[in-house]
Amino acid sequence: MSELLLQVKDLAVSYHGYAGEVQSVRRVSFTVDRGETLAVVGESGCGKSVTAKTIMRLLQTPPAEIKEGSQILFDGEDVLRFDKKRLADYRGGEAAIIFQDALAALNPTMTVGNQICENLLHHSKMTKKEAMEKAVDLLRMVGIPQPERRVKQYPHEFSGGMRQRVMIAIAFACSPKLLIADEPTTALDVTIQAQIMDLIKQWQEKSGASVILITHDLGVVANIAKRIVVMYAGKIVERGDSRSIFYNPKHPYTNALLEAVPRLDLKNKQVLASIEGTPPDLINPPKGCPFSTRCKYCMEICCQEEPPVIPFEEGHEASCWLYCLEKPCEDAPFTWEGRSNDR
Amino acid sequence: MKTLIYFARRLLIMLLTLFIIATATFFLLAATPGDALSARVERLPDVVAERLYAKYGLDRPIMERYVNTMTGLLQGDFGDSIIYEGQTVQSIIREKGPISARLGIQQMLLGVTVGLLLGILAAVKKGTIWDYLVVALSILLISVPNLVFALMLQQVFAGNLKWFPVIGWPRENIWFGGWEYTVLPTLAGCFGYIASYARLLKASMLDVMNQDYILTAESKGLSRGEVIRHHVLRNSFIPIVTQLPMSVAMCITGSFFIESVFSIPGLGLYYVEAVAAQDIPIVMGQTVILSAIYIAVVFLTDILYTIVDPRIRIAGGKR
Amino acid sequence: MATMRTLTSAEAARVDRSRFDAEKIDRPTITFWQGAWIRLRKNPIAIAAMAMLGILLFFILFGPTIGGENYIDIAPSMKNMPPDGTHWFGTDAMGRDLFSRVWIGARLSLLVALVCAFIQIVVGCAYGGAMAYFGGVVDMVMMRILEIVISFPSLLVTLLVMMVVGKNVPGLLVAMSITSWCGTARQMRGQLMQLRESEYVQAAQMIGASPVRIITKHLLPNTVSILILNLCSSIPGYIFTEASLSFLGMGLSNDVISLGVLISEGKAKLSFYPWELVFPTVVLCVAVLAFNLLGDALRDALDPRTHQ
Repeated sequence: MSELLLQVKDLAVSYHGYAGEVQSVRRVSFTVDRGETLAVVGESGCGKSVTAKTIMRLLQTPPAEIKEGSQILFDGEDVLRFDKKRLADYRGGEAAIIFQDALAALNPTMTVGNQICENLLHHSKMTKKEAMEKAVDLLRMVGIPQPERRVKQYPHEFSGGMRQRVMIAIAFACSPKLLIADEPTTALDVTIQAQIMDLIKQWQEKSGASVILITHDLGVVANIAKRIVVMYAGKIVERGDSRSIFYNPKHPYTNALLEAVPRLDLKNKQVLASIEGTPPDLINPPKGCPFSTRCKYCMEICCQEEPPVIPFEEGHEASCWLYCLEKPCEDAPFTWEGRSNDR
Repeated sequence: MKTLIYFARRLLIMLLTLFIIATATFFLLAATPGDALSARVERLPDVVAERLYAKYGLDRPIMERYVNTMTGLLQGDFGDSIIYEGQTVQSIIREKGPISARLGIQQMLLGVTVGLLLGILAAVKKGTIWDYLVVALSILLISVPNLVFALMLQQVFAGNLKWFPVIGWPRENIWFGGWEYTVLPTLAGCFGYIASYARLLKASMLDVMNQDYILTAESKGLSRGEVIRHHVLRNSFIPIVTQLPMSVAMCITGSFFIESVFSIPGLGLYYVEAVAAQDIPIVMGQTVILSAIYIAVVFLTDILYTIVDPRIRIAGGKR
Repeated sequence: MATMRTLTSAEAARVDRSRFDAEKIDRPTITFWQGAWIRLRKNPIAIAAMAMLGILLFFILFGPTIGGENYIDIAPSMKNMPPDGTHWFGTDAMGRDLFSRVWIGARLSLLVALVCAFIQIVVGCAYGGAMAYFGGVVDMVMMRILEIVISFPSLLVTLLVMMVVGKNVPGLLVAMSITSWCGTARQMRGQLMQLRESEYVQAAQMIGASPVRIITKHLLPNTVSILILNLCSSIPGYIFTEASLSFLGMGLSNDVISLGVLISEGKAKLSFYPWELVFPTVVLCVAVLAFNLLGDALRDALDPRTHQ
């Protein structure tokens, strides 16, 4: 069995609205190994959630359109070519997703127990009774007290954190090989955030599944993800293992994101940086580098041509023209260390 | 306990409402120029006329009549009809009620069923020719008054084709007999229901289909059919369930026109005649009873709401 | 691995960042009403509905003049004539020109419907606004009154009131308006209460926006759209009710001309002189259809969530 679980190749997704075609995801490729946690980081509107929904085949087409040439290989099979039957096994059975807003993501008129059972009954030959017992176990596992009583309750009777635990229980129910967590903690208090992340981490260690963690918050990612992909305006601008991304960011956007994370060791003396401007309008994406309009180090070429992908050591890559200069520029904080010197 | 207080409060308001309706009806009728007997006594000698007035209590001062009528209402005695000799409100309702009820039930059963099916079709096949057909059909049906449908159906299927009787209603086996009389009135009345329920359910289903929990359901691997049956339908039926009792209430008065076109001897026809003739006891009685049904139905709506939507509890009493 | 390109000094020249205004938003901003208007204009159904209403309005205003035939005096020699070159819609049982009568009737029916809808909006707004504004005990008492009025079966009330005030136009207006405002009032109260609690109105109050500004910038845009929809969707109901009351013999008496009066006069002669029923009915249905279509289109256009 290969190490590779998921391979996203040249994924491009557009939305067709009144104003024109919005290119949400523009040729994105990445891979996820078995048992690995990959974090996809970026601002709102950069295409992370669309990518996640595409992997689950949850996009409504139309208005969305998955462009020709896109491929999502799951265990070597193309998810985008799954027929109904295969898709029914895949969703919920082999891959599961957790959404940001658990209240909206749970059916208000169905008991929590039934919502968990639905998944179990669909993917296994359990009886209703066995499924309900399993649902109680699952609720206990995700840390919900008095699960026997709670299964009979409705989502509105749960608190925010508890609802997200229910969502997790639904996702875990059939022991999927891949879990996509789409901003699972964004709507929660900080203390609860940590609990939820721990829960996902523990389950992953136990089950050996892969996790794609989608977030806009680099702080959440630090101690859970092995590798990080940074997205901007529908493209991947930098990728690498989390150590190199955190300690040695190569792309000005990643650097700016990191400067925006509050740090405990600086004891409130740090001035939090913000990134000026807003992400580009994806109806007419800028010609050159998507970040050029907000980049501190923007050069003429950046507004003309798309930057090349510059490989660094250990799979660390960044798309930036700065590394094509004759020598490193003095005012940029980026080292050229590790750049493959193959010219 | 909270629930009990809630019910008691609602009951009180319902009784108060009925009281106000009865009072308003009484004084409205009293304020109308002329009275039920004026046409009849025109050519009678004064002595007979006075006796007639005395018989129905119409010679008393208005407040005394009001008190008498209201105490009568409390005891369930609405008084005798002035224009229909020997009839009481009870006898009229016992006789005419089933006729109107059958018409109403048939219309609603047919109309709501077809309407809901069309609504589901339009929502599931959104953006296809089926959707546009349903939308076009329902807007056409809504834009034509049902009395026009009644006249058209009567002209074409009874007048020209002679498939069905032009007017009338089964006299025996009130509930199941003589279906040929009921076909056209039922059809004429059901179009409105078809249109409004198709539109309502479609809008509601599309709304539900955009909710995040539908994505969750799809992410569990459920097929489109299962998602629609288990998740979309139940949630999108909430507005339907709350609309249903109102339709029942509306259909009590809504059939007036159809009864008039097909000369169906139902409550509506009698009510209109009684109002026109100022037959105070009959109008009072029917108004109070119909209002009571209507109010009870509105109350039922609120209870139904709490059953279909677990987020609403009776104690809260608020949406 | 392809050889990496080295940038020329021209290519590597730093860009003056003031060249792009970082906070600039590429698309022009459009106001709520502009957006609604654009969406309405793009909707072919809305255009069709407005065209239908325009044509109706034209004929209602000028139809009798164009027809130029006598529609008031009885002409026994012209009884029940089928449509021809002079009498485009034929004549009625008294030999009067139906073409003119239909438009005169539509004039009255639409006017009655518009006035009733207007009364409904004004009374509903005032009542609902008062409930939301005063709140507390006033709100509770007014709400109880509203609950009672709203549970009157409206057709019964209309019939009774028609009896009392008489079968004339003012009577009809009163009869149809007595319970009509309840729904609007309840909707207004709910909307205003919700707006008052909403964070953006509180934020506006916080930064010291004047009440006038809050009303014009926040409360009005959010309620006017509801009211427009209310107006548009209640007009067909009034047109229907007017016609149906005449049909039951409880509507306007036939010394005035309305669509309802024409329809009830025509119904008896459906088998022999069908045009006497068909023309007024078709005009009624077209008017109602136009309002329904416009209402639907407005609903889509005024919903800011469909903003793209």
